[in-house]
Amino acid sequence: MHTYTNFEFIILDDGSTDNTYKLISQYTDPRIILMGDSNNVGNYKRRNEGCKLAKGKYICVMDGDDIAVPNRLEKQVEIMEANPHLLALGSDFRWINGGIYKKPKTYDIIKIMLLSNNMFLHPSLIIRRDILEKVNYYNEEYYFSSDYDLMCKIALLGEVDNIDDCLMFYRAHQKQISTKHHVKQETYANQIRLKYAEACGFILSEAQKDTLTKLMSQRYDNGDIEAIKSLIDILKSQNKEREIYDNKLFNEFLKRYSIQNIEKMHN
Amino acid sequence: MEQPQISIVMPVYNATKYLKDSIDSILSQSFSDFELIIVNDGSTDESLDIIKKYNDLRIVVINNSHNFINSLNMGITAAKGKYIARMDADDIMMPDRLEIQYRFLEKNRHIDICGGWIHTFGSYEREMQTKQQSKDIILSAIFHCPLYHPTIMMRKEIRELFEYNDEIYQVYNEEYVYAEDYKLWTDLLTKKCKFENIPQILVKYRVSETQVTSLFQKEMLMKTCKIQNEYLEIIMAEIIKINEKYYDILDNAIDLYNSSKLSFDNLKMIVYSIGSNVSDKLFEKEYKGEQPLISIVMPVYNVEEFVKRSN
Repeated sequence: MHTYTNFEFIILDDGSTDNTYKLISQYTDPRIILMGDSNNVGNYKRRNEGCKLAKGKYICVMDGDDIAVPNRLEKQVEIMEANPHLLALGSDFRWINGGIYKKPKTYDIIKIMLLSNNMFLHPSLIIRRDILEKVNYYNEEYYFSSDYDLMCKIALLGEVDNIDDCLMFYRAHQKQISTKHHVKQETYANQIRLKYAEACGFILSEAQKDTLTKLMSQRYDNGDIEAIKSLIDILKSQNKEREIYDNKLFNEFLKRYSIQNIEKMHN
Repeated sequence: MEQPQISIVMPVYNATKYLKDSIDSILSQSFSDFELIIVNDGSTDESLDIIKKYNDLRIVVINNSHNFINSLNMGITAAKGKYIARMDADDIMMPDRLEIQYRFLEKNRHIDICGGWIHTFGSYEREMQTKQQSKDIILSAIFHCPLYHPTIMMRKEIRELFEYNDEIYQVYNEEYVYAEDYKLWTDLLTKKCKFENIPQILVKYRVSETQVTSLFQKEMLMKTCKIQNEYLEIIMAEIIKINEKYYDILDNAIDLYNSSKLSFDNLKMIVYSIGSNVSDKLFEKEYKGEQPLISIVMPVYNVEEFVKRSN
C-alpha cells in the first residue's frame, strides 16, 4: 500500500457487526495491530485509543475508506524531518471521481483561516505524536468537529501547513449526517471558533462573540449587518494593537466578509 | 486450519479425576479463537479416553512418553498462535481468562509475558496475588517464583530465544525440573523480556490433598537455591553496570557470605535493597530501531466491502 515501510498500522474495530474484524485479523503482516472490541463507542474514542497506543514519532489518522497515493508517507516524513518546527502537515486532495481540491497554504494564512473553519483534510494529515499528546488528543465531546478543534489546538502551539500536492483521494461520504447532528455540529464548531479566537488574543463581548459565530458560519441576515460592520472594525483594530496575525493578510481575509460582499451574497 | 490467536499448552499426566472440568473451563472461554494443545505426558490411566470424547476441532493432541519438561517443550513448539498460554490439567480457567490476557497483550506491546492472580481450591481456599509491574517482578524473583505458572500467556516469539534441538524449542530446562518455571522466568528476565501481572484472578488453582514427598521437597529446594544463586549474580552484575558505586558494598557482601558471616537470606535482602534504588534501569530494553517512525491509526466500522476490495 505504501512505499514507506517503517510504520505500524493500528486498526481499531469499533464493534463492527459484519465480518470486518475477521477479515482484518487474517492479515499476517506484523506491522498491523488489530484492536477494538464488540462495542460501538464511536470513531473519536477509537482514534484516541489508537493514538495513545501509537509508538511512532508521527501519527496519521485515517478512515476505512481513505486512499493515499503510494509515496504519501515518504513525502510527508521527508518534509517533517527537514522542518522540526512543523507540527502537522496536510495536503491537497483529489475527489475520487473528479477534480482537485486545493487547501490553503502557509502557516500565516492557515492561522487566520482557522477562525472560520477547519483548513485541513483530516486524513491527509501527519502529526507529531508528542504534539498530539500535548494537546490531549481529540476532544471526544465535539464529535465530527473534533478535527477542527484539534487543528486549532495544534496551530496555537506552532506551525501547521498543507503541501501543495495531492496526496489523498477522497470519497465523499455516502451516508449523510442527519440534520439533528448538523445542528449539534454547528454548535460545536461555534464553540471551537470562539475558543480559538480568544486563544489567539481577541477580546470580545458576548454580543460580539455571537456576531462572530454568525459571520464565520455564514448564518446572518440583514439585521446583523450593523453588528458585523462594527465587529470587523474591532477585529481589525485588535489585530493591529495586539499583533495577532499578519496585518495585511488578516485585512485581506476580512475583505471577504466586507459589507459589500455580504450584501452581494444576499441579493 | 486458520492460525489461531492463542495456543494453550496443557500437559496431561494421569489426570482422570479433574481433566474434564479443566477442559470444559477452556472450551467455554469467552474468547474462542484458540487451539488447545494437550500433550499426553505418557498417561497410564483413562486421561486419553476423556480427551478423545471431545469433538472440538480446536483440540490438538500430542502423545509423548512420560517426561514432563520434554512434553512442555513439545507443546510450545507445536503452538501456532500469536500467543502461548499455559494451563494445567487440574486447574480451572476463569471464564474470561483468555480474553483478559489477549486484550492486555494486544494493548501492551512492550510486555512479553503476562500472568495474573490465582484462587486456590481443594485443601484450602485462598486468593494469591503477585507483584504487578516489571521492575517489582525483577526484584521479587530474588526471593521466590514471581509468576503463577498456570496463569501465564506469552508471545510466541519468546521460544526463539532458546535453542532448537531435535526439532523442539528447549524453553524449559530439564536440569531444573521441579522448579523449571522459576528458572524460565529468571532466564527471560535476564534476557530483558518484560513481564506484567494482571491484578485479577485468572485461574482457580487446585491444591491437592496428596502429600508432597520429602524427596520432591528437597529436590525443589535445591533447584530453587541454584536458581536464586545464579540470578543473584546476574542482578549484582547488572546493578554495578548501572552504577559502579555499588561495587564495593556488593563485593563485601559476597565476601561475608562466602566466609559464612552472612546468611543467604541476608545476602538476598542486601541485593534486593540495593536493586530497589535502580529498579527502573534493571534489564532495561533498548528500543532503538524497533520503534516505528509512523503510526497509522484507523478506526473501522462495518467496512467489510472495503477490506475485501483492498486485498
